[in-house]
Amino acid sequence: MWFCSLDEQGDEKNDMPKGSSIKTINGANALKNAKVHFCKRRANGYVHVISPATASEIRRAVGIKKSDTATVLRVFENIGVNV
Amino acid sequence: MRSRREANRRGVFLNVPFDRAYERLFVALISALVSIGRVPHCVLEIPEQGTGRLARIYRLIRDCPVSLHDLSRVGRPVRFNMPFELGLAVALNRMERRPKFIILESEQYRLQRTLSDVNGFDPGIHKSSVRGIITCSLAHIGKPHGNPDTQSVLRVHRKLWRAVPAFKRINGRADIYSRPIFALLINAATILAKKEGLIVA
Repeated sequence: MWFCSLDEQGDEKNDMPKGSSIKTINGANALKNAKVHFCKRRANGYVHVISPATASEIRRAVGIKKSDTATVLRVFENIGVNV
Repeated sequence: MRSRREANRRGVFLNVPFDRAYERLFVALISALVSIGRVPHCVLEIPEQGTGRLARIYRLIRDCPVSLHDLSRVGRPVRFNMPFELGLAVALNRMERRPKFIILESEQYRLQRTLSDVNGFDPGIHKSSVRGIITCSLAHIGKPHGNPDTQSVLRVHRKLWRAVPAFKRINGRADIYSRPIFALLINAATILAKKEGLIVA
């Protein structure tokens, strides 16, 4: 026979090393989680409140390096702006 | 650390005239946006790599959730860049629901004559003043409450404007519209806004 019997397949759970588990996908849970996340996004989108970026996030987003910061600090020092 | 996607949500695309007369307002825009924790983007920041200016502009507008279009340059020589980029933003907004676009003008009711297609959208009127552009930015892009006061942002702008000649000198440029100066301006605004206590480190 081209297909194997149940005996040949063996019990997959018992063959696995102790402590490991098979991750199963529960369709109902996936749908529920998606709905929860969607609602959160929608609520946030309507209010349109975006938390402000931190200084490091702004620098990272524009690709500013540490050497650039040193240049700016030197300029401020030269023109007498206290930072 | 927040995700990159979260950081991208704070981007604001600046579609403004790159001329000498607008330099002070450009610096004011950067000061205001950084002070409210938004990340200014403009076409200057992407190096030309053979893709052409239009492709760079399109990519930036698509990536930023908000775009800001100043249509106050209506004199001679006629500038079509800003209305054209506004058109791109409006089309993207209709197709992909982003970016949200904000229109700025210097004179009240003039937009009804110069670009009557956008009747129904209220532009922010800045009267070509630093204070005006800061209040427009805070009103249109700021949070519903808890924004920094205009005086604090003006202080950031004043100090940043003092550094502009040095930035030009360092980079050997006559104007501020270059990639390294744009990066320096944002970096300096970030340092000043942090010092004022408007954003956190």
